Amino acid sequence: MPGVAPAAMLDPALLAGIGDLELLARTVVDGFLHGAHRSSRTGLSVDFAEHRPYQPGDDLRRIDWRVYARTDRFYLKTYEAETNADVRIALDVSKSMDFGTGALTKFAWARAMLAALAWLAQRQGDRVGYVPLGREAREIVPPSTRHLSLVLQALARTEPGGDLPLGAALQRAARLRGRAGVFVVASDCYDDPVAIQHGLGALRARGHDVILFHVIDPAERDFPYEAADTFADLETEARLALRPEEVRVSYREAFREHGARLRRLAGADGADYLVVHGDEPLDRALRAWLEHRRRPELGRR
Amino acid sequence: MPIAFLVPAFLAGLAALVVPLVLHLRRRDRRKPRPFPSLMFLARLPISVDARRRVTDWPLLLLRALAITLLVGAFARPFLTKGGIAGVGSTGLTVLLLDRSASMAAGGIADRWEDSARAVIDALPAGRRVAVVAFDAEATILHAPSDDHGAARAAIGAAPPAAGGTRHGAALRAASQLLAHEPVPGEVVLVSDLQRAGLAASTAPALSAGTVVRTVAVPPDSRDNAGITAVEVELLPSATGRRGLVAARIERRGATAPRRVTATLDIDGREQARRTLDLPAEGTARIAFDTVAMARGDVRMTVRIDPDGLPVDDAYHAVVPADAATRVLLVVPSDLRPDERRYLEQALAIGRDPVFTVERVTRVEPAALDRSAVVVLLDVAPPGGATGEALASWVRDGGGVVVVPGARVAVRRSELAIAPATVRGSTSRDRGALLGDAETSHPALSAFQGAAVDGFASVRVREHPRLEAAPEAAVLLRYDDGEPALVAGTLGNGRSMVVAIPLDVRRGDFPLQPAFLPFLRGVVAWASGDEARATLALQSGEPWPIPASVRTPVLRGPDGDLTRIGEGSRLVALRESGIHQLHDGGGGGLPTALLAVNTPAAEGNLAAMEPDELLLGVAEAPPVSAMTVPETTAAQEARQRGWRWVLLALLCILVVEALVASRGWRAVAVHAAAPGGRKESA
Repeated sequence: MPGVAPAAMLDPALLAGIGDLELLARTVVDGFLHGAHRSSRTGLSVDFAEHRPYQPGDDLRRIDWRVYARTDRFYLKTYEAETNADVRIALDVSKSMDFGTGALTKFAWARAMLAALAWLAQRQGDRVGYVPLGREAREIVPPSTRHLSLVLQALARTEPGGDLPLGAALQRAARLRGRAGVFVVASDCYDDPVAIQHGLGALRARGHDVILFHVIDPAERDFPYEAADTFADLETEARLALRPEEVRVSYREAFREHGARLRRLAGADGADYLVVHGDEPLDRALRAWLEHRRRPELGRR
Repeated sequence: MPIAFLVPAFLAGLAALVVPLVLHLRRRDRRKPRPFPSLMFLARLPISVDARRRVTDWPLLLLRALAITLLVGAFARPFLTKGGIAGVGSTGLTVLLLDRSASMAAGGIADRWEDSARAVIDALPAGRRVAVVAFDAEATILHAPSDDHGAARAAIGAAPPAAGGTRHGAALRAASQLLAHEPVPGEVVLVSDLQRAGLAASTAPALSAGTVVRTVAVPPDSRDNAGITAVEVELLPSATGRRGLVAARIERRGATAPRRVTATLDIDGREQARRTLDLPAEGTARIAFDTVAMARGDVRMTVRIDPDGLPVDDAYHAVVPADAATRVLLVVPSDLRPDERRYLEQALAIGRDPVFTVERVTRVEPAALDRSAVVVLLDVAPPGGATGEALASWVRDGGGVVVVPGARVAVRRSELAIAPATVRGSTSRDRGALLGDAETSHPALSAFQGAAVDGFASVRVREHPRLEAAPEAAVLLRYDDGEPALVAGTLGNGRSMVVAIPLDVRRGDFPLQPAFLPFLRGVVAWASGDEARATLALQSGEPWPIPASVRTPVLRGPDGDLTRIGEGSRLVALRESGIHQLHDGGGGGLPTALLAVNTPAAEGNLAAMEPDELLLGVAEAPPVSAMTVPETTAAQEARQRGWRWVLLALLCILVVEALVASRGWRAVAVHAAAPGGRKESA
């Protein structure tokens, strides 16, 4: 896209015009890295950690022959990042995600964000998988270094329409087989915070590092409506007639309290909780991801 | 031209207007809702009800209400009436109704009503025709419709003195008849004290649409009035002559404080007793005099109290008849069971005033007729042949006959010869027929005046003969389906009556009801010509049958004026209160009969009604032109085709409503038990 600065591609208003999710993800990541001045965060290299004595059964190719030449003993070289992490991106596919007052709905924004994360993780050498929260298990893409395109295709196919609450969906995801890794969740978190905490706790119990992106549309946060109207719940189709000015303050307070409880409960289980808004650029989410991945304990998984 | 409806009952369907209103208030969620991710926070908040109960789509609601109104209007069949409300112009007729009832003699009215009436005529535009009608219980035209206002003013001065009861219905009926053939709606002006009692006695007349009715109220100086409403006489047996206990009932209305009055009892012109009593501010008091001696013949009696604002009811006149038995010849079929005549014989044997002696036979004998005053044919048809001729001759000479057709007579159509009705078989009513529409002003039913007429309401008759009254006969009592139950008539100087009410308990319960005794005794007494004996006094305006034995009746009024009764008239209506004397052939000598006449008790209550109440129950008569000029079918159809246009308008409204209702997205609403609840896991 000539004439457009790569960093500008982080703007949701422009992302809304990109139909190809792979192109979108690549554009986002390139824009993000360009804006970060090509920093050294190019991924985890295979750094030397220490030597250890050879034991029967070790791979002969990993024997350090130079040390053998000097000491006449067999030593093997070990590295800090012996293997890449399994990164599972999980998208809440409930109907409430299909809401947005800006250029993108919460669902489209979260999908773009997760696609960018998957692309970035792939470039960092991680193995990428996909878990739709609230859908059948057959749509799950297991983590693999070669599954990025599958993940992006699965993301592109996913439409909002799941009917499983987030807490229960997380608990189901925790029962999936596979190595522990990083579990990135994007959801609007319309469920009981305690139930969500239980879901996050189940993932943590499986050894996953969990990042919960709480996707919020500005209208959900501010409830800016003026005229009396009937509101329909996208999930249940229930309706409620009310005057917004009568409930606005109380609603905002309830919504803020909900977020505060989520933050407190998620943190209690060791999960990262990050609020992102559907009208903001994606770089904040990507930066949060990189900061999360820089933690030393994550590199040795 | 104003609009009316052929089937106005359908207008009740306008109540359906509530339906769209309720739907708009309760089902607002049918309109396009605003999608929102989740109501889990909003559902927990207290939300005021009025936010839910508010009409938000007024255009749609109004369209739907208009559609319902048009639909109801189409069913009610609107049509254009031909008469409009006309103002009082130089054309048309004004009917001036002058209240001449007894209450118009009250202080403050007597000297003002004439001026009020003349002012009405003076206010009429020149050339407008006017009619003058005076009324009390009956209406009399004093001045036929004409544009001679001077003659109308003179007719006011010739109005009769105030006496008699008040019946506004009679006056309105007379006005209706006068206005019936007018080409334009007229005007009715009522000059009256608007006494409420006159409204209660009214029946509903009919006035043409557009007729203007206005009142000119002439109120009395004070509505405080006490009057004597009844006198009771209990005759006591005495070896030396008759003695009696006399009591009077005094009613007082419209006062604010008790008042002491003195009551005197005059017997044959001389004061015999005097008592004082305290009258309540509102209510009735009874005063009993000491026992007084009475002559064996007819006794004239007058009870008086101190005069007040309405003097006509401060004196009550009565005539205590001479004590003599009335002989009744009871003719029964030979196969009559005892229970079929038991109640009749017992009713006649009980009581005095008058005393009946019953002679029961199975066939009419001329000798028996000579010693009887009345013949009662119980389930026996009037005899034919020579016996029938003898019976008819006896009746024409002044006798009385009462025919009570039972199951034997009513099995077929029977001409009752001397009776004023024909039997047309019988009819059965499973749930029992009711009696009503009693003509209590007739002497035979005088015991049922006032609230006593309710005694007929408890009677149930399962089977009764069907009567066809003769044209000149009077139907005094009817069943609830209009069938005559009691028919009275005259034959020569005699009287005849047909009773279509079973007098046994096999076909009804009349003998078991309290009304049976006064009814039967009143009927037989009237037929015998002794009703004056049974009645101490009549009310002003009630008809008084002249005894058949009086060939050339001459009446002497309380003020001594002589009035000769016409040859063909055997009923006279006496208006003036006091003791009237009946002479035969001249005004001299001893009177043949005496009769006391008093002001109706209701006249003593001077409470006024609102002018609007005058039109209660007044029906709307067909338009004048509709009665005089037959309208063609095409013209009628043209005036009544409005429903087609109304339906066309309804269709247009429905199209607009569909367009308005379909604007925007209209979701199919599915109500969840708890908003936001499904998304939330427990």
